Amino acid sequence: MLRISRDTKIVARVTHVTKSRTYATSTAPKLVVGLEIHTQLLTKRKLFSSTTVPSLSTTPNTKVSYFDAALPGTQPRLNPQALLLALKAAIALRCDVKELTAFDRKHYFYPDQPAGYQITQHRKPLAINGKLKLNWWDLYSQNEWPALLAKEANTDSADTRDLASRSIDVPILQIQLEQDTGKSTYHGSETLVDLNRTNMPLIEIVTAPVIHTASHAAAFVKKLQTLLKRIGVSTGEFESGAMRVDVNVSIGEDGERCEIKNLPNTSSIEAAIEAEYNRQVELVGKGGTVEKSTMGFDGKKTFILRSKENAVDYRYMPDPELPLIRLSKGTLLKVRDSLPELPDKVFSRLTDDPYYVTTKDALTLIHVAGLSDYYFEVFERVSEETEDAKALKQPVNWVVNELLGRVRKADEARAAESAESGEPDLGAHDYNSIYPPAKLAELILAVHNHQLTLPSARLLFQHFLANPEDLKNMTIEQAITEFELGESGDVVDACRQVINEHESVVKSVKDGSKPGSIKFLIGMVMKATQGRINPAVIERQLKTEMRHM
Amino acid sequence: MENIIKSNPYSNALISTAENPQVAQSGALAGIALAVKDNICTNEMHTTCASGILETFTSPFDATVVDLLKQEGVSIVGKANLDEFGMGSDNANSWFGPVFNPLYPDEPHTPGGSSGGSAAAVAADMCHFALGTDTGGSVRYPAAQCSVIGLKPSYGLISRHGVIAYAQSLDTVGILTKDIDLLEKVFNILNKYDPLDPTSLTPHKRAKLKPPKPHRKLTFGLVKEYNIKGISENVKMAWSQIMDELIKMGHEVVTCSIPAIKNALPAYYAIAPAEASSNFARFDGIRYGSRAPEDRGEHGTLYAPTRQEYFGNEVKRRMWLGTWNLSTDAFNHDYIRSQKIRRILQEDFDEVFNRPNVLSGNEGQKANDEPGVDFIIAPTSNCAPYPLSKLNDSAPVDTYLNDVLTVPASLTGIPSLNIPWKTKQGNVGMQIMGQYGDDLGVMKVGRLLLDKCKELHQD
Repeated sequence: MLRISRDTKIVARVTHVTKSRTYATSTAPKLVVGLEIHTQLLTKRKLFSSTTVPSLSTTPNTKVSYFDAALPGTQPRLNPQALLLALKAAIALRCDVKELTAFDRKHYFYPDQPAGYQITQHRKPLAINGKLKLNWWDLYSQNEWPALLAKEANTDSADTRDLASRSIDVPILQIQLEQDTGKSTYHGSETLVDLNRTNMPLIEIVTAPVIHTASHAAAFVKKLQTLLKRIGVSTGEFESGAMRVDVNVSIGEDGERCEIKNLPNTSSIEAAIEAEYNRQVELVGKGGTVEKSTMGFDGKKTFILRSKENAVDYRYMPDPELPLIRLSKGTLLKVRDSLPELPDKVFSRLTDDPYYVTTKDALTLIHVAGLSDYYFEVFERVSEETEDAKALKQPVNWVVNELLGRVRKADEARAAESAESGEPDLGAHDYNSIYPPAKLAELILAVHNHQLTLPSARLLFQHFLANPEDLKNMTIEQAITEFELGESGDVVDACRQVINEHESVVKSVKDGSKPGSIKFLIGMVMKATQGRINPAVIERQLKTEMRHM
Repeated sequence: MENIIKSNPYSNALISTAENPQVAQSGALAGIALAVKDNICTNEMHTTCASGILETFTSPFDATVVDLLKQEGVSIVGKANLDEFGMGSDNANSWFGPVFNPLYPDEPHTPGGSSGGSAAAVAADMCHFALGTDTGGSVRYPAAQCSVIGLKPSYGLISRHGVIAYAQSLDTVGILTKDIDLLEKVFNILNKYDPLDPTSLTPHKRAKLKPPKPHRKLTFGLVKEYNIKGISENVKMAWSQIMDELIKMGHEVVTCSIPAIKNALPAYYAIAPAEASSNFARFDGIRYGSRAPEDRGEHGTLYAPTRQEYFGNEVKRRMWLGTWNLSTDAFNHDYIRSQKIRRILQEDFDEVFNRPNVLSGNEGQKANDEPGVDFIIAPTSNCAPYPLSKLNDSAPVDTYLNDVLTVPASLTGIPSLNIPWKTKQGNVGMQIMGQYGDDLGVMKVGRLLLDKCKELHQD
């Protein structure tokens, strides 16, 4: 009876757009979700040994040191790079980094856990009390943005106008640094163990159980992926296992929680939460009780993998040989300074003085890797030459509409092509090498200085995109001459020809009987020059020619 | 080699013997024979820890200590027997059978443990020196029972990389020999920072250690808590004789008290087995070591049959204890409290010594403007070695009591040297303890007393 079908949920989400409420029916039990996210750190070497990290294609059991295989007599040595990356994540997630941090051993027997324990952090984790802000644009999909922005622009109601008030902070309870385990694969009665992954550095990020919709949980994971990638801490990829998400779901604040393990992507996180919520609600509706258990998800419904009633005692103990880590304020400041500007900060900078980029464009700039930095550089170069407000609007138009537009079109074409061969490639781009920002600034300034018309500039831009050699070797001036894009030169010929061809119109303009007809003449010249020439230049040239007649 | 062929069949001191030990032409230890306790990794011969679980295990690498000694041209003649994984005081818990004390050729007596093979090999002249490990007395006690010199160095001075951990917050590599000059030479070779060992004392901290004091006038502490019940009259006499001789030499002897010593043993048996149960979790028969046939079948359960079959009883007993100590309730109650006791013990020792402790940062007695002591002298063993037949009568817990004398120095990480002191009823093992890092000072006193002992018995 209380079961919320997927359809109802969609209604619920639409409701959410207009009202700050999670579920349509107030009688539905509250969904409570907490996340535990394991992320592999992008280090060169493993966490406690000098083994270089394997890739997915590395032959099993070839990146295993004596320590990784837990040979007797071996000892751990902390890889400082792993600590640095973990600190970066902790600082970016606004955690309190502990001055004193230590490692513990968590014991359990498993064939892919060679030492019989995992070195992790239990009593003195690296960082606690962080948060990740989910803005309205993080909470809705990109296809929903235009509608939301339009609504915001067109409504007077204070209730819906303020998209900014929709943001939520998800508290992060703690971040700990720990070892990954090996990998077991099952072939009939045989279990094969690959120790390549053993001792890979991980951070575990634990959120407070304060997420109340499945889509918010997915939004959190997506935002975290982007953030960790941006600061170079992790690839954030699900496919390679660099990110693994366990979801704790319960109904009501006091409900027993069930943990869904190993969800392969954000859409299955969302679907699994909904399925598990429905399972629990249905169970309670039938008079049953939810028992603490570990769940699996088959794509449609969740099922109990094992009940946690006989909980394992992990017998945590402080690692007796790894020294305590003392972190000075100075170290933390240095790490903070090494972090790139985070997307939320970039967004607020973009929409403010002197950039005044629209919300829509700012969102595009922060969601395409490397694009905001590219934009800032073009803007700086243009603003060095001019303070003209109109010219300063050009960088964002060029970057978002021309550059990104063209690159995306090429991506789509390539994807369509390779879809047949089965290898879609919509990867990240290095915009600096596609079209150096200095060159784009030059182009914008050439238009501003009337060396080129906008249509000519677009033609030239496309030519350069298609011919990187020309882009590299030609100056704008050379290109104008080479491709006869200039406003002088053939404009004279074109004007003379139009004047010759339209004597009567010229006459009526000259004698003042129909002065407005000059617009017709300008139009004819533009047609003849294919719009490459600024109309003001044409008008000036026509008037000069007519005076000399 | 001849001595090995002659003595090893009776004493069983060596588990493996080198077929053709290398004899180097150069190096500070060229021509010197070494026996390595079989819980220290060597890439030749097996490294068994005297356990069934590692019966045929060969390490792919040498421990740092082995490497350093090989560089000086040492000849490794064999791997010394021990109590399985270092657990025991009689060297009776070995997969390869007990070690018999070579000083008692007529009736099997215990050599002490756990480095019983190392001590016996030295006593029977099978080697010039042996490496042992000392976690709670495992070098000093067998040295005492076999009448040889045995050093447990300050924790962190000698690398543990390649030493198979029993309880690594306490484990040290010790040296056993009859020759104090050789002891000092070997110690100086091994006393080096090792980046492979995370507990190795850093060069920065090593630089803070002070050289030993000149022996014009020293103060020796007689700590009353070492005067435990069960110390034999003969040992007591030796103890007071040494103190008398020191006074005669112009040194000062003061009595003092370290109350925390009485809590040392319970703390040790909370900490050491806990660490051991964690360390031994890796011995599962999957990647290396012995694996029970039951674990190989299609329905093999893994772990339990292998561990049941190949671990000895004492190891199992201590692992159960350790596993219990780490269970959530006991951990919060006993383990944490034991770590506190350990810290208090360290502070109490620092209060007595007149030198500052470089590790703890405690200033020592000097801070209180009172004359502290330079060294503490106490018995290593409460009585002479006993016949193996007697051992079987005593309950396992009784043998733990012997550790009261040796465990405090292990918990505090300070150096302690056992020397044999001659009495009418045979040699008695006495230990000299010094402040953290004063290993050379401790050896200097050792030499002083050995010389005095020789002088007293010249006639």
